[in-house]
Amino acid sequence: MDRRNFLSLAAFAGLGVVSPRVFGNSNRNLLTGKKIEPLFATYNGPFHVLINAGGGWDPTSLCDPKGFAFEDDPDAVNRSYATGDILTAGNIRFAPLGSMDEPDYFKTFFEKHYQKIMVLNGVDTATNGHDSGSRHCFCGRLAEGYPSFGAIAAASASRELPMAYLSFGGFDETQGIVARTRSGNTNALARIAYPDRRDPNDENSTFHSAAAADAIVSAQADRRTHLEAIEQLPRTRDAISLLYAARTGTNELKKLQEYLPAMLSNNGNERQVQVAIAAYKAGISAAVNLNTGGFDTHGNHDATHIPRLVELLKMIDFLWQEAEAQGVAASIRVLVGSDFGRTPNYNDGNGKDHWSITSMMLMGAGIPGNKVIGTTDERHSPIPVNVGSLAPDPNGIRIEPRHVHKNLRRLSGIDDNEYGQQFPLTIPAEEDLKLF
Amino acid sequence: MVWSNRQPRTRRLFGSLTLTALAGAAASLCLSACEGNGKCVSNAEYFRKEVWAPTLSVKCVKCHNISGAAKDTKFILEESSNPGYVEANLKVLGDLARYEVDGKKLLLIKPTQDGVTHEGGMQLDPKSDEYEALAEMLRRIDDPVECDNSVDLSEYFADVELLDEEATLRKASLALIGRLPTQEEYEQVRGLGIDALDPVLDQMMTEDEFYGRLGEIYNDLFLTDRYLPNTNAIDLLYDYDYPSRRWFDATADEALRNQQASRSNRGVARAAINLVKYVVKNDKPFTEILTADYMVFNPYSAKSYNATGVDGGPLVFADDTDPDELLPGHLPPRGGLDAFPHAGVLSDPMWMIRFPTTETNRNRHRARMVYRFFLATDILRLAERPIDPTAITDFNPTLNNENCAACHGRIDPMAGTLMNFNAEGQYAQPEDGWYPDMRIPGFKDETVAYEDFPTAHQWLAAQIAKEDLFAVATVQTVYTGLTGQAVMLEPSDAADPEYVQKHRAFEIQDEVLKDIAQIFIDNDHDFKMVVKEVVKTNYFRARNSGELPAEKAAELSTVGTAQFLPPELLARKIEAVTGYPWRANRNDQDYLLNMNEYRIFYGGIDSDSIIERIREPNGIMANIAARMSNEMACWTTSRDFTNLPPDRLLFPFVETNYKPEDDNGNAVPAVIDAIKANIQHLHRHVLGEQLDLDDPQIDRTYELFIDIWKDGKAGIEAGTYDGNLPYNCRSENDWWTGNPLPEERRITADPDYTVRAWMGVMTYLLSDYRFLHE
Repeated sequence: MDRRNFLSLAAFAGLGVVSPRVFGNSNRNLLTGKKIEPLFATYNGPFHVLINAGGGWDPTSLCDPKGFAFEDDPDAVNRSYATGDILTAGNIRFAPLGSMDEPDYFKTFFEKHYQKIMVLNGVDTATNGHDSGSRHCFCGRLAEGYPSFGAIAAASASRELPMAYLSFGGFDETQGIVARTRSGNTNALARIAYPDRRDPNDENSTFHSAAAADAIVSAQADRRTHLEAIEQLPRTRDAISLLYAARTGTNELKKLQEYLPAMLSNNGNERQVQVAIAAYKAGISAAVNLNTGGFDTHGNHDATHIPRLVELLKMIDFLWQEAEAQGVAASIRVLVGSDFGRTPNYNDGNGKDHWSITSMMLMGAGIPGNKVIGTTDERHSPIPVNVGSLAPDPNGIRIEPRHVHKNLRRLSGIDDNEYGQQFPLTIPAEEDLKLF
Repeated sequence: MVWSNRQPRTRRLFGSLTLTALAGAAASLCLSACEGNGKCVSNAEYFRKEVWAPTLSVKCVKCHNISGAAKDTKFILEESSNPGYVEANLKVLGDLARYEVDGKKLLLIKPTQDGVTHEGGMQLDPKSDEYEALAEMLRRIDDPVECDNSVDLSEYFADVELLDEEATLRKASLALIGRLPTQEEYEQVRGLGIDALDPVLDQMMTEDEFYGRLGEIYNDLFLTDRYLPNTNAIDLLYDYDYPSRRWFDATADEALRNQQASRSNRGVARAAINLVKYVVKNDKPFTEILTADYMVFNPYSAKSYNATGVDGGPLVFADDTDPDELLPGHLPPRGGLDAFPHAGVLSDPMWMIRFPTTETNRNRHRARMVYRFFLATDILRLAERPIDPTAITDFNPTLNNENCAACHGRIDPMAGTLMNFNAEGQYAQPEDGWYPDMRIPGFKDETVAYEDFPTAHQWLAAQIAKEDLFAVATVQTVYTGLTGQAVMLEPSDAADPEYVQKHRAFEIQDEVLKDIAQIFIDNDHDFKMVVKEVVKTNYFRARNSGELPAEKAAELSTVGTAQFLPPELLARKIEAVTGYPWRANRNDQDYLLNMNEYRIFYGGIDSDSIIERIREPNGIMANIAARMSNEMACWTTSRDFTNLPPDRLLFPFVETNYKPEDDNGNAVPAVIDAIKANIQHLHRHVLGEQLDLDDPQIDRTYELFIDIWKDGKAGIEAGTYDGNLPYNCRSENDWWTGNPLPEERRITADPDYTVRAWMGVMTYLLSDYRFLHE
């Protein structure tokens, strides 16, 4: 039951229930003074992890590999490896690349994770614009006006979770259905988690007595009722709703403290993962945008792009390590994508420009791994797929982000709920690719 | 201060005026027309709904654009992602409406292939509604019929209650200068109508705080505060270009050296922002932010840049140690020119570095930002129509392929005008000239003469300054800065169930903002005029409405005073209301402004990796607000009581020994009256609410006070509560000086539990929706 509805019904039934969470230590029954338990369970459904390779990655250097035919091949899609050196892990083909320190890192990664990975190649984003491409990839619609998949998933889980939708960047539009949370200096979280304490480490150092705190909460609830009764402009009503929804459940922020490592990693990507997994483990987050950039390599592509891909794969690997360590790996569902792809040729600056054909990778709960759907020709143009068999078919259709999102929505049970209906992805039956 | 239902004043329509200006020789172009139902339908409205949406946007613009298959014809349309597309396209129709073949309009016989060939084939059925609508559009152009007010703002806002003059002034004052109006200022506007705000706002816009806020608004665009830490800005300058950039290294005293470094760096990093401030402060035409033949320095950055005065002599500051004093000056000459070719922010090294380029990007990123900041155009939205890369087989596709040319046709010529700024942001003419495989440097239909290449950016600045879209962009920036809302984009998804309502909302807002843009232009680009006009709009003043049917609610979805205050504005409001900033110690930075404290958590930006604000509260932001309300209530309640009543901001009508009941439990009416009067004062002072003493909201707050007080009194009597205040909530020193207060003014004990009861009231009010929003 929606928490606001619960409170409304409880009040209607004369139960006199008040929010126990608005001011930290005020979770006591007004009459008995006894502590009362939270009114709703923390979140433990699937954790939706959206990983954004910002700037437009090059799938031909990763999971849709295309190299050079011979040394100095003028038509080389990639100059960094030969087509004959392309590697496989299970059914997944990948580029034989790595970093200076770990030249075989792609091999290490794919051999470790291929059984979890579904690769979608030849995905047509139909754009060369960064914003529109990122939007298309992470919401399934090219035009503006839709929230990201993470926002819909988070709102569907519970828009009142204190960190329902955690975002470190990338396309994270919410259209007002859920509030984003942006991570800052996690050292300040202790004071934020205990807003009722003068000293966050001393539970007895409250600003107000328990009775005063409860009285304030009660007055705030009355005030909300008053404001909702008199304010009629939609924007104002939405703002009131968002403020009170944000307050509900804020005490659960304390749990984040329990699951954060004593020392956060010095690596920015790993830090994102640590905060995200801790928030999920605490039951206060349902979706996260992880973000790593630097892929917009219009110049010197090989030297700058491939190390970024290594960092991306390491981030994904660390995500699974951390999820395993926290015992939540079975609940993680991952979408990895980017703005678009990069041209199948080099420009005069040894860079690659924008190319609207890309790849996406799915992993985790409910995703069949060791699978590749979709393909591209030698110049990285998409080859249509048969809607029934998903095999290459010149009379088939192109895979688009909306197909991927339709499947993800169905898997997460959010395609036809309140938010799915509010932002529908309408696909005719004859074009509805069933990816899993 | 009361809410009013005052109707908006009639406004001139920018669109119509623009049409007048644009039409020029095409004097036959009509302004608007009236038709059935007594409703006046402007040409712009008719064009949008009946011609553009069903026909031109679907069938024509794909080829008839500057880079499409029909790019060599006279019929070149603008995409709807261009804010001025209606006016521009109406001008095209007006120009071409004169062309006839055998008495038939060319614009009608071409798409129907009626006796002429059309390379795009048959596009319109002469019996279709679309054809008839186009014909009607041309009749309207031939036979002008005017109506006074083509967009009925009063009807649109009829259900909306507006803030009255005083409430508007309070909101504007907090938004512009971060303080509450004085009583004198309130009296200057009370009951005198909304235009009475103008002189008060003019005066407010002379205060330093306004220029601080102006800097924040423009930093949200320029993001040059990224370079504020350490000497990050100066470190991006090269010794070769600026040998004295680290002049302060010669200072022996370490503390002084660090101060000089910090102030130099600030002047360098904020040069573009400071130019905006300088132009506004000195009442110069706002176009000078682009056309200024000077740069703005503080005494410290002038040394780093080795700058000279505009007359060629040394820069002479009134106070060499004032980092906020700004003077115009020149950078040392470059590239064989007699003087450095300044062009406002377009020649600022830090602005150029903030938006970098590469050998292959070739200033396109910079050009995109110029379009966005100064021409109200998001060039990448042009790329949002679906494209097919497999169709791109051309040599040099950004030049030759129409898929690419949608953006590059606009962006590449402008990129060329910025040719003289290298990847390091320095003026350096390209040794081999500009790239021959790109479009000729220019803007719109004009190109830069070869001999003017060394000053091409100055040419661009002059071109932009003449554009109506520069005015639109300025108004949009101010609107977003004052309301916290992005301007609406024209809805493009006709399948959206609320498309009609959203389109109506867009049209109205578009008209209102263009109206202000026209006023801006008519007043020699007076920036302060824009601020005053935005403050007076119904968007800024809308307070409430009657109950709205669903369709009307969708129309009014962007209207309302419901901005969740960003950290900078909330920080100032806290100090304005309580008298004290929210910070641990007086020499610290405010919690809400400190990157390492709550600034980022509370939705702020660091101008580096976090450049977009969060404008809706989440759980963490709610907790920060809760902590603020607790902490500020604790700190400031006793502090305020240490002052004499006339000097108090919060508790002028009560004392700490004012108890609502005597020792026998009998009510003390005089004290109760005083407490209620103070609560009434707090609702007005903290929340901006004008309430009668018998208002239920006053009663509810009084009930809160009584509940806490009674519980506390009982607790003290029972010995379960301490008679002293918590340590942090005591007041023994003057907070601003740190000096001990006289013994009789110190407050450490709370034997009657009144201070803590008032703390509860303050927490309640400081956490309220109306305190956290404006």
